[in-house]
Amino acid sequence: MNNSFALLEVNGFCASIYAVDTLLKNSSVEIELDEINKGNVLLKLKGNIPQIKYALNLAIESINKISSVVNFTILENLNPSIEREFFNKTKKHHIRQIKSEIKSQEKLITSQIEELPEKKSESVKVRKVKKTAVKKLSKPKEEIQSSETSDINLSTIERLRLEALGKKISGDEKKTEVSKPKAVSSYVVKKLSDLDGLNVHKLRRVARDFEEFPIKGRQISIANRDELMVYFKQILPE
Amino acid sequence: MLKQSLGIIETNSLSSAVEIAHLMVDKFEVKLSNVRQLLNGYTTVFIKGELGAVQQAIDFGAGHCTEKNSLVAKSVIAVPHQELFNFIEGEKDE
Repeated sequence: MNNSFALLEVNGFCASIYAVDTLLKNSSVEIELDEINKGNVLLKLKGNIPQIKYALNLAIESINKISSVVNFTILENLNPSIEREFFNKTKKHHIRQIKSEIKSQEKLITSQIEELPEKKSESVKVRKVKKTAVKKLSKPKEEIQSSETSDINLSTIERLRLEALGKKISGDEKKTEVSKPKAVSSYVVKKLSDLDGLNVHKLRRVARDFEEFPIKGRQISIANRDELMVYFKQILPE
Repeated sequence: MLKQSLGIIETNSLSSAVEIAHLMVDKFEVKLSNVRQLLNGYTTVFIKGELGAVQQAIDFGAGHCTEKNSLVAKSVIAVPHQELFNFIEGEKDE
């Protein structure tokens, strides 16, 4: 029956760490450490009753050498529902997991964007959505996925429609091609000095806009600032 | 290789913690392993090194702190348990 608990409130972090060390060495209870306000730290011990009583005495003894115990209590045979409310070890873990999942999703999306360099306006949209989603942190995955899929669906539908209409393809395509770069090319670069204030991401975007740029696609996204600047020096006048 | 000992010193304020951490790392052969701050401003400094050095460093730091009335607690753990570092590290900013 490992469902008894002891709560021990300690004044100061130093004393609590010292107590945790002695408990780890001399007893077999599960320990959890929580910070509460006014510089007090709460130690939660879990195990069966004799173990806990022994551990509690040990902890109090060791804490009194350094600092002082504020209060302590033993809870015998705690109800599982209460246990879940007060002793949720996974809480901090959970937030971290969500963060890591969001990061992995971001990586996936950026890699997908790099594979589709010709759909620039769409990728810009996805990036914007991604930024807002990261700020919110509430339902990022669904937003990102939905926006992405909708963009791709739109483009495929448009393409199919254009193919079906036959002769109109050329005219429509020209229009779309003209409209897309206007939306993207916010940085007009004609000299080498125009590149001074830009960071790596902006440099890469500018590099993708150039048709005669020496490297293409994924190579641009792999290249760092110095490499990009070498290529820019080959193309642009000073 | 000898197992590293852990020294803990808890002070009233962040400024005094930084001050003694600097002095301890400067004067003795110890490494700063972690610094943690509680919600009311109590700041705890953790140092690592060989037992003698750690003990001397903690004594020195405690003496320096008591001059300014900023010492809360101090302790030296000669051979810290391996799992203890999970409790110390806590949440680090990524």
